[in-house]
Amino acid sequence: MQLKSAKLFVLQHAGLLGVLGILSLIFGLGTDSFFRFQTLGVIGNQIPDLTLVAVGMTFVLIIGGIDLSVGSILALSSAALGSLVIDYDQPLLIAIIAAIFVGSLCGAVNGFISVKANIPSFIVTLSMLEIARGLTKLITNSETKYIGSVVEPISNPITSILFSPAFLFAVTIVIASQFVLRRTIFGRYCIAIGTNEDAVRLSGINVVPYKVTAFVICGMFCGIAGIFHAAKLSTADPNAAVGMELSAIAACVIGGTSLMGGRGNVSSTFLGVLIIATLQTGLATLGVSDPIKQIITGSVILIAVISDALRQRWS
Amino acid sequence: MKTHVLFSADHLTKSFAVKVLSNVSFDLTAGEIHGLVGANGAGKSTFCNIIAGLTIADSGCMTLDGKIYKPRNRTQSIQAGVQMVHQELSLIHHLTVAENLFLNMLPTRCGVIQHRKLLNEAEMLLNRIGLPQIDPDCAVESLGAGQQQLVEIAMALSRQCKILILDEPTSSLNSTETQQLFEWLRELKDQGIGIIFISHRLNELSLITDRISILRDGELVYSGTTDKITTSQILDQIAYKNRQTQTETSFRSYCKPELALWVKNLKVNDQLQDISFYLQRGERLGVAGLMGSGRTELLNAIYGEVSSQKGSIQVLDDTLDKPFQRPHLAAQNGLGMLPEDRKESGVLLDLNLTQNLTIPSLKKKFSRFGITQETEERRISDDLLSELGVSYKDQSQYLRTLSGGNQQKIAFGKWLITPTQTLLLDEPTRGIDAAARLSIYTLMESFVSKGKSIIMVSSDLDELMQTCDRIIVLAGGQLTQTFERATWKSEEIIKACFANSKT
Repeated sequence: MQLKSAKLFVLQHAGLLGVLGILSLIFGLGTDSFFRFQTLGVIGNQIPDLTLVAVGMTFVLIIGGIDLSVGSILALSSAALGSLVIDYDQPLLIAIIAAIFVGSLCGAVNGFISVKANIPSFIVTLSMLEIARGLTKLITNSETKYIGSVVEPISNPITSILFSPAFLFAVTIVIASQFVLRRTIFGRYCIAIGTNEDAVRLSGINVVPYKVTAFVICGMFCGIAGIFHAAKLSTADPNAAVGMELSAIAACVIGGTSLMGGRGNVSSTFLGVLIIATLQTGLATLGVSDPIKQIITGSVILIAVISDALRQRWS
Repeated sequence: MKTHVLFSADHLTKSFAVKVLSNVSFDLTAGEIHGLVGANGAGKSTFCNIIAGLTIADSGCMTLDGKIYKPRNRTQSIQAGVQMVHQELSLIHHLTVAENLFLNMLPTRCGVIQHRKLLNEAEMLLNRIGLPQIDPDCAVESLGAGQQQLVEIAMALSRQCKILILDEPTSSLNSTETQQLFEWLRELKDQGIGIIFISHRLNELSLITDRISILRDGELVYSGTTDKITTSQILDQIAYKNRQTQTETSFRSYCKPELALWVKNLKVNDQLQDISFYLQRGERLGVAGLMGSGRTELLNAIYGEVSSQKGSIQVLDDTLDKPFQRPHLAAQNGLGMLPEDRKESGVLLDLNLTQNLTIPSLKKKFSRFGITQETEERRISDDLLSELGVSYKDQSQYLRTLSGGNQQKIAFGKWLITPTQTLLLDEPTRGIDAAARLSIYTLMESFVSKGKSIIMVSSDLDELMQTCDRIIVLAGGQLTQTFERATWKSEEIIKACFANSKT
């Protein structure tokens, strides 16, 4: 049974795994330092925040929405964490809970307004992008707040296994989210709503709570991502994760999530994140300059999307 | 005024799955207003679409101005001088009246629209045709339905044409607006333009037309000058049945003397007025009416798909209460719905068969702590699929891969595993083949045999008469008459559909 589901995973994600393999091969042959065990750790510990944000984004995209405010929510949550620990001398646990709460609250506001007032989530979350960023700067006085060693254990690799607790947590979230999406009532209705909301509503389902929950989940994951981000840098940076919404959407799209809703997978999104991270790390070890890095990243996204579209047409 | 034949059609025939037009010969002289009437599905729209180049006839030929006329598409027919105004408006809502009027010939300089010039020209046009009250610079969406319709017609008039086809132009006009329209038509008539005028309002036809042609089941059954026929004779012609009512004996009623649904004084803005009726347990109630009579709006109002409805509804032996404001509230009270447009809002094409069947009952029947019980889902849906008679390969194939008939069976079947007591069916057999149609009827029968009830809207009167215990008729948003199976006659039901057109 275990073997069978592993096989199924490989089959379903053959395209993405192939891309990942080719990328690793190129970087491995191109440099001496890429094919090392540490590289795995470097990539793994780089991505917990993006992974969480992208998983949250996947839920929102599947119901046919979009969340542009993820980067700002992440920054606001990490600012809340930093401020509570440094300015108010609160224990880390309280600060962590507060950060998650702040993220969820932002998501709830996004969800309620866009669903209840029937305003496109693009516009609502665009406003939230500005508001949350502004609040972040208010809290931090627009200065980078050094938090110090209290938060570092979250992001420091555990020596025996190479990976940080944050990465392990992110992987757990990926697995749990994939389960929620594929095996629960909530997940089924999210997919159905993204496919044809009218048909679901006329089947006598109240779609409002499901749609709002998708936004709350996204906000909550951004909150957690904010903690990881702060832990990684030991600081609460008011300009953290600017533009992360685009990386998150890119990861989802590489993974085959449809921007029209109804189609997507958390596991594929995770592979999308891995591809982006591998590309970043690999290009860095090759010593490629920043502008070229951006051009290559953009091209890879484009190729992934085109090949996905072609595959859809064939099947 | 010379009366030469402007347009003629000779033995036009067109079949889609069934024959919709057979051997229709028709002519239109210059300066004539030719009325065209018929019941739902008599072939009026197909006929006009052929003239306008939107559909191509299987056989037969047409002439225009003495020359062979064979439009392959809309552009060719417009070039030949045929303008058509559809029942549904084609105006672009966010643009202004002026922009709509001149959409394909906007005055520009170096690619920039000359706003002032556009406004002047639009104002001139509106003045010329007698709509000076409309501001050419206001958005179309800010106008009322009647005024929009007038602008739409004005748009067709602003272009040179020899033939003007109007498909139910008066359905959204009030009486002053109708008078306005008639004035235009008389002017156009004097200019020698031939007009084909489709309407369900028989009194208007006798007022404005010179000749009347009547279509019934795809055949032209009458054509003659308007003064030679009375409105009641027109109705007789529309409604006349040459086929004998068939297999009357096979119908079995499952009605029980218990109330399933009681609708009282249901109102929706200007679409439905004071509708009251009841539904018994085990009953199949048909809703007949012309397009735009409020049939779909009635089902939507009962199911809570519109929320501006007033009145009251009682379900089973519950108390009489406000109508449902949202579909899920209606569903919680034992109602279910098959909407008119299956692909648009009836089924989920990109989910698999099982998932489509379990959508309404997922939470109650197939979950434990929020986790879907897929084995149970597959077991139940396997049974259900064979009960529904769906031909399929695999339960996990996408619904998209099934035929329309099989899709509809699944849309019906999803309500069989819910505690639904009353189903609202809106055109349940539209666009599906004869065999699937029969299976839907069988499903309906087995549904009501369990003491549940059905309200069914259909444009096909034969279908309603074949499957229903009782038929209510809507016309112009009002319930005009109720017919019992024992005493009904199809002629009378068709006449009732035209009821408020006589006044």
